[in-house]
Amino acid sequence: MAEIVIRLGKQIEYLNSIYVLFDTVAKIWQIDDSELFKLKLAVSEGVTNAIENAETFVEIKIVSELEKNRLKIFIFNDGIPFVPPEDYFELPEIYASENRGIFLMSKYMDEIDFIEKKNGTMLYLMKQIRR
Amino acid sequence: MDIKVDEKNGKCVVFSLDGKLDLNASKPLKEMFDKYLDDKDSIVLDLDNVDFANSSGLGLLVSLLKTAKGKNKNLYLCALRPYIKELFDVTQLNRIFDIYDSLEDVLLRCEE
Repeated sequence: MAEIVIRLGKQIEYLNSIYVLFDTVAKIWQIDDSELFKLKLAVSEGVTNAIENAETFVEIKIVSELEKNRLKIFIFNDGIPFVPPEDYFELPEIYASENRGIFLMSKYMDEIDFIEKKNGTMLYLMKQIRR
Repeated sequence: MDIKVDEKNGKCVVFSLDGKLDLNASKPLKEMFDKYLDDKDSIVLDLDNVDFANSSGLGLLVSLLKTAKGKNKNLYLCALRPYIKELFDVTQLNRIFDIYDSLEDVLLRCEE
Protein backbone atom coordinates (compact mmCIF):
# COMPACT_ATOMS: atom_id res chain seq x y z
CA MET A 1 0.00 0.00 0.00
CA ALA A 2 1.23 3.50 -0.79
CA GLU A 3 -0.17 6.91 0.04
CA ILE A 4 0.21 10.34 -1.50
CA VAL A 5 -1.18 13.38 0.29
CA ILE A 6 -1.30 16.87 -1.18
CA ARG A 7 -2.80 20.02 0.22
CA LEU A 8 -4.04 22.84 -2.01
CA GLY A 9 -5.33 26.34 -1.54
CA LYS A 10 -8.79 27.16 -2.85
CA GLN A 11 -7.70 28.45 -6.28
CA ILE A 12 -9.24 26.53 -9.20
CA GLU A 13 -5.95 26.84 -11.11
CA TYR A 14 -4.57 24.12 -8.81
CA LEU A 15 -6.73 21.63 -10.70
CA ASN A 16 -3.97 21.40 -13.32
CA SER A 17 -1.57 19.94 -10.74
CA ILE A 18 -4.09 17.17 -10.05
CA TYR A 19 -4.11 16.19 -13.73
CA VAL A 20 -0.30 15.99 -13.70
CA LEU A 21 -0.35 13.92 -10.52
CA PHE A 22 -2.79 11.40 -11.97
CA ASP A 23 -0.86 11.18 -15.24
CA THR A 24 2.14 10.18 -13.11
CA VAL A 25 0.15 7.66 -11.06
CA ALA A 26 -1.20 6.17 -14.31
CA LYS A 27 2.32 5.66 -15.68
CA ILE A 28 3.48 3.93 -12.50
CA TRP A 29 0.41 1.73 -12.40
CA GLN A 30 0.23 1.23 -16.18
CA ILE A 31 -3.40 2.34 -16.15
CA ASP A 32 -4.91 2.42 -19.62
CA ASP A 33 -6.15 5.67 -21.16
CA SER A 34 -9.84 4.91 -20.74
CA GLU A 35 -9.47 4.20 -17.02
CA LEU A 36 -7.23 7.23 -16.58
CA PHE A 37 -9.81 9.49 -18.21
CA LYS A 38 -12.51 8.25 -15.80
CA LEU A 39 -10.23 8.67 -12.79
CA LYS A 40 -9.22 12.18 -13.76
CA LEU A 41 -12.80 13.12 -14.45
CA ALA A 42 -14.06 11.88 -11.08
CA VAL A 43 -11.20 13.50 -9.20
CA SER A 44 -11.56 16.79 -11.09
CA GLU A 45 -15.25 16.84 -10.15
CA GLY A 46 -14.48 16.17 -6.51
CA VAL A 47 -11.65 18.68 -6.33
CA THR A 48 -13.65 21.37 -8.18
CA ASN A 49 -16.51 20.97 -5.69
CA ALA A 50 -14.10 20.92 -2.76
CA ILE A 51 -12.31 24.08 -3.93
CA GLU A 52 -15.63 25.86 -4.41
CA ASN A 53 -16.86 24.85 -0.94
CA ALA A 54 -13.60 25.13 1.00
CA GLU A 55 -13.10 27.73 3.64
CA THR A 56 -9.33 27.77 3.21
CA PHE A 57 -7.89 24.49 1.88
CA VAL A 58 -8.43 21.15 0.15
CA GLU A 59 -6.51 17.98 0.97
CA ILE A 60 -6.33 15.02 -1.38
CA LYS A 61 -5.12 11.61 -0.26
CA ILE A 62 -4.55 8.86 -2.79
CA VAL A 63 -4.22 5.36 -1.40
CA SER A 64 -3.05 2.74 -3.85
CA GLU A 65 -3.76 -0.87 -3.02
CA LEU A 66 -1.84 -2.54 -5.77
CA GLU A 67 -2.47 -6.04 -4.48
CA LYS A 68 -6.23 -5.46 -4.78
CA ASN A 69 -5.97 -3.49 -8.03
CA ARG A 70 -7.77 -0.52 -6.61
CA LEU A 71 -7.24 3.15 -5.87
CA LYS A 72 -8.94 4.96 -3.02
CA ILE A 73 -9.13 8.73 -3.10
CA PHE A 74 -10.14 10.95 -0.19
CA ILE A 75 -10.86 14.62 -0.89
CA PHE A 76 -11.37 16.82 2.15
CA ASN A 77 -12.33 20.47 2.25
CA ASP A 78 -12.63 22.53 5.37
CA GLY A 79 -15.68 24.72 5.98
CA ILE A 80 -19.35 24.04 6.61
CA PRO A 81 -20.05 20.32 6.07
CA PHE A 82 -22.17 19.53 3.02
CA VAL A 83 -23.58 16.12 2.14
CA PRO A 84 -25.49 16.34 -1.13
CA PRO A 85 -29.08 15.06 -1.23
CA GLU A 86 -29.90 11.97 -3.30
CA ASP A 87 -31.15 13.86 -6.35
CA TYR A 88 -27.64 15.25 -6.89
CA PHE A 89 -26.64 11.72 -7.92
CA GLU A 90 -29.13 11.74 -10.79
CA LEU A 91 -28.79 13.28 -14.22
CA PRO A 92 -30.22 16.82 -14.13
CA GLU A 93 -32.61 18.12 -16.78
CA ILE A 94 -30.87 18.26 -20.11
CA TYR A 95 -30.50 22.05 -20.45
CA ALA A 96 -29.13 22.49 -16.92
CA SER A 97 -25.83 24.37 -16.93
CA GLU A 98 -24.53 22.57 -13.83
CA ASN A 99 -25.00 19.66 -11.40
CA ARG A 100 -23.69 16.81 -13.57
CA GLY A 101 -20.55 16.32 -11.49
CA ILE A 102 -21.82 13.98 -8.78
CA PHE A 103 -23.76 11.97 -11.35
CA LEU A 104 -20.54 11.49 -13.38
CA MET A 105 -18.49 10.57 -10.32
CA SER A 106 -21.00 7.92 -9.33
CA LYS A 107 -21.14 6.66 -12.93
CA TYR A 108 -17.37 6.31 -13.36
CA MET A 109 -16.27 5.19 -9.89
CA ASP A 110 -17.05 1.92 -8.11
CA GLU A 111 -17.73 3.52 -4.75
CA ILE A 112 -18.55 7.09 -3.74
CA ASP A 113 -19.52 8.52 -0.39
CA PHE A 114 -19.76 11.97 1.14
CA ILE A 115 -18.84 11.98 4.82
CA GLU A 116 -19.73 14.86 7.11
CA LYS A 117 -16.81 15.83 9.33
CA LYS A 118 -16.75 18.20 12.29
CA ASN A 119 -14.83 20.87 10.37
CA GLY A 120 -15.60 20.05 6.75
CA THR A 121 -16.60 17.43 4.18
CA MET A 122 -14.78 14.30 3.07
CA LEU A 123 -15.47 12.74 -0.33
CA TYR A 124 -14.45 9.10 -0.67
CA LEU A 125 -13.93 7.59 -4.12
CA MET A 126 -12.80 4.08 -4.99
CA LYS A 127 -12.03 2.57 -8.36
CA GLN A 128 -11.09 -0.95 -9.31
CA ILE A 129 -8.36 -0.51 -11.87
CA ARG A 130 -8.32 -2.45 -15.12
CA ARG A 131 -4.80 -2.60 -16.59
CA MET B 1 -7.20 26.35 -22.84
CA ASP B 2 -5.85 27.84 -26.08
CA ILE B 3 -8.33 28.98 -28.71
CA LYS B 4 -7.43 29.50 -32.36
CA VAL B 5 -10.00 31.47 -34.33
CA ASP B 6 -10.57 30.91 -38.04
CA GLU B 7 -13.24 32.92 -39.87
CA LYS B 8 -14.21 30.61 -42.72
CA ASN B 9 -16.61 32.97 -44.43
CA GLY B 10 -18.92 35.79 -43.50
CA LYS B 11 -21.34 33.49 -41.72
CA CYS B 12 -19.20 30.99 -39.87
CA VAL B 13 -16.30 31.03 -37.43
CA VAL B 14 -14.35 28.06 -36.15
CA PHE B 15 -12.83 27.98 -32.67
CA SER B 16 -10.17 25.28 -32.47
CA LEU B 17 -9.82 24.47 -28.80
CA ASP B 18 -6.62 23.04 -27.37
CA GLY B 19 -6.39 21.77 -23.80
CA LYS B 20 -8.82 20.82 -21.08
CA LEU B 21 -12.48 21.76 -21.07
CA ASP B 22 -12.99 22.42 -17.37
CA LEU B 23 -13.72 25.39 -15.14
CA ASN B 24 -10.44 27.05 -16.15
CA ALA B 25 -11.67 27.14 -19.79
CA SER B 26 -14.83 29.01 -18.92
CA LYS B 27 -13.62 32.61 -19.07
CA PRO B 28 -11.56 32.52 -22.30
CA LEU B 29 -14.15 30.52 -24.23
CA LYS B 30 -17.09 32.62 -23.05
CA GLU B 31 -15.25 35.84 -23.94
CA MET B 32 -14.41 34.58 -27.42
CA PHE B 33 -17.94 33.31 -27.97
CA ASP B 34 -19.50 36.64 -26.95
CA LYS B 35 -17.11 38.51 -29.23
CA TYR B 36 -18.20 36.67 -32.38
CA LEU B 37 -21.80 35.61 -31.73
CA ASP B 38 -23.59 38.72 -32.97
CA ASP B 39 -21.69 38.87 -36.28
CA LYS B 40 -21.93 35.20 -37.26
CA ASP B 41 -24.72 32.75 -38.05
CA SER B 42 -22.76 29.76 -36.84
CA ILE B 43 -19.98 29.04 -34.39
CA VAL B 44 -18.09 25.75 -34.69
CA LEU B 45 -16.14 24.34 -31.76
CA ASP B 46 -13.44 22.01 -33.06
CA LEU B 47 -12.61 19.70 -30.13
CA ASP B 48 -9.94 17.65 -31.90
CA ASN B 49 -7.25 18.84 -29.47
CA VAL B 50 -9.38 18.70 -26.33
CA ASP B 51 -8.06 15.75 -24.35
CA PHE B 52 -10.24 16.17 -21.27
CA ALA B 53 -13.63 17.54 -20.24
CA ASN B 54 -15.65 17.44 -17.06
CA SER B 55 -19.06 18.64 -15.90
CA SER B 56 -17.87 22.26 -15.69
CA GLY B 57 -16.90 22.11 -19.37
CA LEU B 58 -20.14 20.41 -20.33
CA GLY B 59 -22.13 22.99 -18.39
CA LEU B 60 -20.25 25.75 -20.18
CA LEU B 61 -21.14 24.26 -23.58
CA VAL B 62 -24.80 23.96 -22.57
CA SER B 63 -24.76 27.59 -21.50
CA LEU B 64 -23.24 28.64 -24.85
CA LEU B 65 -25.81 26.55 -26.72
CA LYS B 66 -28.69 28.23 -24.88
CA THR B 67 -27.23 31.66 -25.64
CA ALA B 68 -26.80 30.78 -29.32
CA LYS B 69 -30.33 29.39 -29.65
CA GLY B 70 -31.71 32.48 -27.93
CA LYS B 71 -30.23 34.57 -30.73
CA ASN B 72 -31.24 32.14 -33.50
CA LYS B 73 -27.62 31.19 -34.10
CA ASN B 74 -26.05 27.77 -34.55
CA LEU B 75 -23.48 26.12 -32.33
CA TYR B 76 -21.82 23.04 -33.81
CA LEU B 77 -19.32 20.65 -32.24
CA CYS B 78 -16.92 18.47 -34.19
CA ALA B 79 -14.04 15.99 -33.91
CA LEU B 80 -14.74 14.76 -30.40
CA ARG B 81 -12.25 12.22 -29.05
CA PRO B 82 -13.80 8.90 -27.98
CA TYR B 83 -13.79 9.57 -24.23
CA ILE B 84 -15.29 13.03 -24.73
CA LYS B 85 -17.93 11.59 -27.04
CA GLU B 86 -18.74 8.99 -24.40
CA LEU B 87 -19.31 11.83 -21.90
CA PHE B 88 -21.91 13.32 -24.25
CA ASP B 89 -23.58 9.92 -24.54
CA VAL B 90 -23.57 9.26 -20.78
CA THR B 91 -25.04 12.68 -20.01
CA GLN B 92 -27.41 12.46 -23.02
CA LEU B 93 -26.15 15.83 -24.26
CA ASN B 94 -25.75 14.21 -27.67
CA ARG B 95 -29.53 14.77 -27.92
CA ILE B 96 -29.29 18.56 -27.89
CA PHE B 97 -25.96 19.26 -29.62
CA ASP B 98 -25.24 19.02 -33.34
CA ILE B 99 -22.08 16.91 -33.31
CA TYR B 100 -20.05 16.14 -36.44
CA ASP B 101 -17.26 13.64 -36.92
CA SER B 102 -14.90 16.09 -38.60
CA LEU B 103 -14.36 19.77 -39.27
CA GLU B 104 -14.84 19.13 -42.99
CA ASP B 105 -18.30 17.67 -42.35
CA VAL B 106 -19.46 20.59 -40.25
CA LEU B 107 -18.12 23.16 -42.72
CA LEU B 108 -20.25 21.57 -45.44
CA ARG B 109 -23.23 22.07 -43.13
CA CYS B 110 -22.29 25.71 -42.58
CA GLU B 111 -22.18 26.33 -46.32
CA GLU B 112 -25.76 25.11 -46.87
